[in-house]
Amino acid sequence: MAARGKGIPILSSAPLEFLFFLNTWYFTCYFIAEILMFIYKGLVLPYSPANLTLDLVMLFLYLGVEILRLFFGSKGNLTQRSLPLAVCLTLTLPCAMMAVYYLLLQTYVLRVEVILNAILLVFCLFEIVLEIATLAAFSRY
Amino acid sequence: MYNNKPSRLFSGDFYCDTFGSQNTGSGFISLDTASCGGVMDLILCLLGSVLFFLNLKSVFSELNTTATESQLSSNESSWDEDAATQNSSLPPFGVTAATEEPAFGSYSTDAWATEAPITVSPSLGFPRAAPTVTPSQPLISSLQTPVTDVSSLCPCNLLENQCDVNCCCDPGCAEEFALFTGCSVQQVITDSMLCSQTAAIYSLNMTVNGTMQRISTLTNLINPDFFCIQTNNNAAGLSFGTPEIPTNGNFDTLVKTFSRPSFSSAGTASSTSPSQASGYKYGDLIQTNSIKGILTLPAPAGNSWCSNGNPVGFLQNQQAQCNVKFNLATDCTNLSSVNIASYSNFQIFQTPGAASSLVNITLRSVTLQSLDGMRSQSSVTNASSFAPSVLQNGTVCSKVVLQVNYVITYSEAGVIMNAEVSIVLGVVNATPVQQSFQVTFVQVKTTSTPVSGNPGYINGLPLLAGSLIAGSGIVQSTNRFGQLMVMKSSSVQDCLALPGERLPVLFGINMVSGCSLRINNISNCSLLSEQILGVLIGSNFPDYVASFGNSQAQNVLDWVQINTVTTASSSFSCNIPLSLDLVIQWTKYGSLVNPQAQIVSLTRKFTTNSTALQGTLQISSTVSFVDVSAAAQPGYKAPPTIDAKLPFDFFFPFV
Repeated sequence: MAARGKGIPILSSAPLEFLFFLNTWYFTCYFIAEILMFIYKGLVLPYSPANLTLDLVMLFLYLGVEILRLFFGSKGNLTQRSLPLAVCLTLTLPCAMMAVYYLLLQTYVLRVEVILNAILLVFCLFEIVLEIATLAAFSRY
Repeated sequence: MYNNKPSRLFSGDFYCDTFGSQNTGSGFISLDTASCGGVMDLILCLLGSVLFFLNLKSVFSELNTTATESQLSSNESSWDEDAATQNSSLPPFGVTAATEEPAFGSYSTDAWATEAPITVSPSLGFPRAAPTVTPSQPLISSLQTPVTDVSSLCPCNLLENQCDVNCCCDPGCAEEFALFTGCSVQQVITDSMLCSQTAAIYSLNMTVNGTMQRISTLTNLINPDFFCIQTNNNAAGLSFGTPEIPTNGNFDTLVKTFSRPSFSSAGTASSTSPSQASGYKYGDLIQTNSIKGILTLPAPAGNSWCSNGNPVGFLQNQQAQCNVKFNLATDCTNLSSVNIASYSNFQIFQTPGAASSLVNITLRSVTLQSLDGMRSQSSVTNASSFAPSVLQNGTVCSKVVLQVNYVITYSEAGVIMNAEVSIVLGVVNATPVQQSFQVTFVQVKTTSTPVSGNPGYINGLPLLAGSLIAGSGIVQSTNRFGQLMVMKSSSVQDCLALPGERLPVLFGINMVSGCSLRINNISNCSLLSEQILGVLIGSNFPDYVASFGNSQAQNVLDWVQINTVTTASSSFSCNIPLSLDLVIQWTKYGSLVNPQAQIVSLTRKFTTNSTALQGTLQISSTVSFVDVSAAAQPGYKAPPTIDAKLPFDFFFPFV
């Protein structure tokens, strides 16, 4: 289509879509691993009920936000629409904050969690860069 | 050996793994604790972690090599071996930096409880008791903060201001280190679950003159465990919580949480009786419908005066004797503790709980005692007819409770089936009044006769004896202390004065008793002889003695006939027995592990006078137990026989 010079050129970012795809799978694994880790920590380490509840509620909140973010991001990228992609971009910020929470601020941070959350943050970082680039591309047309 | 000085960019509380600046050869990423703070540091952290993840395998291999390197370079020759001998259950730590770090405890370990690694369990590292420096003070409000500095902690320092042997971290040891043979605690860490922490390592080094020299280093231990704690944001979780100080506001909740069984008055004890189950348990208070709510038995509390609140525990036989302050004029009719009604005029709950049915206390017998001690059985009518009353112009009080004896019958399920009371009422003219109380629990449908051993006799328990009656076995006295008795020495020392009182023969206890007899004339020799015999053997001397403490009366073969030997000299016309010697021969029966005492024979030996009777004669009776056990014979089990037979056609083709 683009070669013909008619209609809308393909502006969707393949690297971004690839990143979303990987992120979906990674987050699924991450969520399962975190749940198992909380079972482990809850059994082994002394938790106050409030702390454990906060950590777990935050985890499920994170799940919801991440699903929304990836859905809107993928949809906006494929349909070449700015609004969903902008929503995805704004949702990336709370997602990154959640990752930072589990990286640094939760009750007990295991070494595994440091690694897992750092990878999530890397995903977020690259997605932010690519989303901004893609949004710029969309807004040009 | 990687000598990594931690670079602290931010003085925050959070740390994460990052690759340090020392990326030395062979792709090893040292795990050092560098602070992460701010956005740039965060990104650095991320990149570092990703690289760390990718290089995980090489990290582990490198950690192992660093551990061995530190082994070789350190003064102790075998770090792992020593840890193994100390029953260490630590995950293996890799020692990355063996340099001394002066900045001790800089890793936010303010409230972390500590313990020596030799006692750390890897799965449940904490919480633990927080050790304190000085002996604990009695006040809760002055709890001390836990010491978490590993350099000042010493788990093997048990003696204060003294040197503990082989305790290399003991500050009380200075010159004693030279005599040590090893270090009982080689490493002090805060917690084995932390990824990175400061550890105090102690070792001994032999000097040139043969003495030992202690070497203490502070190192940074890196835990290679994948699930170690990188950041702990719950500092309070590593030590026991500070106990709440009781105030007016929280006292009730604290009492509910921490209340334990304690002494209390009888009234509250009945309301908080724990057992609401089907029956009483051992030690449960017996509930009644009296004012107190529980069955009590007066007992002396500290002094000889009666304390009325002493509760009766289920199945706990009690016997008590105490005095009651008694004012004849006022207390005779008013004092409840001398009134029969307070011991019999209530009912007992069959099982704990108000819903159960009640059992009357049966008045089994009432014995009346006169002022001079004579007793007579009263025909039981009613407790109300035995109320105390003042007689003889207020000089004596009659029908005062002197003795109370409860017999409570219970079933196997702990249900009280029956309660009986025997009461002795007496006439009292002086104070104080001495009362004695007893409660006995008897299981229903069991013979209440206790045995003197099972099977062998037990020292101090009475010998069982009886007389053989043809066809019906051995007939015993119902009183187990009255079956085999000897004369009792009295203060009067007159054989003819008090023939009544006698002593039971207790197993294993030799006895001597005696009395003196003044002879005026020997004209009625046969009468005198009979009387003395009566003093010595009593009215009813048994024929048989049980060879075991639990011999059954119907099993005559378990009983030993009593032999009688009389050494009589016929040279005198008048022979009276002067002494009775009971010789009980017993043997150990059964295995050496648990020998049982068995009576083999009982001989009663009378010795009659060998000289003319005149003046004062000494009559004596002795009981002696003789151990006639033969030397133990070794007994072996028969060796097992192997019944291995070949089939008849085993050599078939040849034979």
